[in-house]
Amino acid sequence: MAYRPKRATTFDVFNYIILILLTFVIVYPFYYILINSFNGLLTHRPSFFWPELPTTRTYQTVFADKSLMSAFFVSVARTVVGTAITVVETALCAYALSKPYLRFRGFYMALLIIPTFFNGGTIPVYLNLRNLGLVDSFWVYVLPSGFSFFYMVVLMSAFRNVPSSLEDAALIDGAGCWKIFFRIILPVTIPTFATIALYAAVGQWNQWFDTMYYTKKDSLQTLAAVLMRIIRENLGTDMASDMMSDLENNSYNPEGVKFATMIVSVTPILCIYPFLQKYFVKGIMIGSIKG
Amino acid sequence: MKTKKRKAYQESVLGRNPKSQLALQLMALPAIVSVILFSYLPMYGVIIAFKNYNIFKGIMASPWARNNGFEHFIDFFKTPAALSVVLNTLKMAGLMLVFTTWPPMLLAILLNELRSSKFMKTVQTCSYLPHFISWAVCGGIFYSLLNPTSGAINLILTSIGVMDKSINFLSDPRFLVPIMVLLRIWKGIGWGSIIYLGVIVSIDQQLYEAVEIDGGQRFAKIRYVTIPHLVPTFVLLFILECGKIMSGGDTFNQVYVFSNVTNRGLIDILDTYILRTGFENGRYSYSTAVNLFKSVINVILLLTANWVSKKATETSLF
Repeated sequence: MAYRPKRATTFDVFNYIILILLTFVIVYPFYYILINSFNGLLTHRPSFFWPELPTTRTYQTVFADKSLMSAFFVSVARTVVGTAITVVETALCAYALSKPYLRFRGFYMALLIIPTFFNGGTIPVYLNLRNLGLVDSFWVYVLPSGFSFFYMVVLMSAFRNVPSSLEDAALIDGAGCWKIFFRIILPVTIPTFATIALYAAVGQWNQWFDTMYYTKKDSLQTLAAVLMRIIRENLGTDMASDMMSDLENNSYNPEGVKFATMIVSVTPILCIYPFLQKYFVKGIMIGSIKG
Repeated sequence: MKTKKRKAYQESVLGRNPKSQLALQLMALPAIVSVILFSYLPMYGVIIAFKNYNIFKGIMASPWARNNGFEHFIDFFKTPAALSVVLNTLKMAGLMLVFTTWPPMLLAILLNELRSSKFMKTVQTCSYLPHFISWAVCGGIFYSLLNPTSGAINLILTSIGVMDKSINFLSDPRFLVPIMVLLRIWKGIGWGSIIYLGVIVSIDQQLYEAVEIDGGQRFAKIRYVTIPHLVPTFVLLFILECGKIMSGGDTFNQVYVFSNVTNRGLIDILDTYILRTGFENGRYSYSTAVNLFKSVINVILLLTANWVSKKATETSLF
């Protein structure tokens, strides 16, 4: 906090006005999709402040749509499984690499950092996934994203800050590495784990690329990819989409249904992130300081 | 001294114990295997940039491309699209660098000057909101808000007389790119401010008191204390951004959402071009060649950025 004068100055007034305007500009678009998701008017005219003819039929349409619901559950599944894999895989590796006496440590570090600067490229990555038999499989969502160098850096710095006396005490009691990790390290670094889990979960939930390009199966569609198709179709793209025509055929206020789909897709994130705020703020600092 | 002793103790027990060394190796194993499978194996596939890849023959058996394997690179440089795509990539990256890097710093300064911490908390929480939302949803929201016939922005601007008739912002060449820049600011300003607020919190309060004793007002404090403390972080982040110029990153998602057949010429960047030629036109080798060209320039830029960063701020990635 800066050292401030006691009386409100003109600067304060302007500052408040600017920040209130900014908050409005940021929040209003979300309010806008929220009210229009309840818009019962069967035209393409959106409401700006309050839904005309408020209705919940848009949501009933969304929840009755089999392909949308399937996409929703695939999204939930990949978020849960994908986040678990990423957190466990990255954290175990981070713990091992935070120990200076790990053999081949330097080699592992180099091995893990190089792909953050150079990758095979879109097509070789796709061909590789196809060779591994992952194309058109659920695992393509959760396995390739299992390790993240950035998360590892954040976790490593958290592990290093754990007083080594804690580990020593467990060692004297005869605990092994695994026991120390799960019983000692994990409980005291829970905030960092929460941060990483939030990042990974948001990434999984919003990921659309793998769905669009690594699978053609209807049963593997995710909410993010379906939304991407719907929105691009609206923008007049040349991509054909069966999903959207399904929605249009439902014929009940497609605009309202589209907004309801967006609300369904953003709500889970909006319910979680404010509670984890103080954790991820800390996480991003460590991450950016360490590069 | 004490901690050093303890570290040594741990090392002597764990480091020399084959059982615990094995346990640690096992912990690192899944990540190592994952990186080899999903990051290193595809690197070998880059070779198809120099071949005429045939799906049925596989990578090894496919014939080499003409001109000593450089056929696809030459093809790319010969197409008129190449120049426009590269220029678009540079243009988008340049605009994003100039216009989206400093607003988070400004927001952090303004937030820090607030008198009520409750209000500050609220603004902060709201400002993080767009960061968590996918570009698809952003596209949906703004497509609707900017719609020429029914969008709020057109209706407001025409009713207060700023414009005579409504404009299709998302296909008008004058507005498309500025709107994309504004949306990037909208999405990233709050999230980006976190790191600057972290720096501000660490500033010594006595410095502000010193300015006060010298008779300095609000602006003097911002000018002579807050900003000088934020500049090194800004420079570091800016330089690191420079290293990402060729790789679209967030710009790729954004362009993917907002581009269509009519406005493609304006915002088509290397990443979208690679995706289109590869997946939609099925030119695997060509697309990989363009991708390789992009990656090589990217690595050069990154190394340069890192070197400049090391010289300028004594901070670097490696």
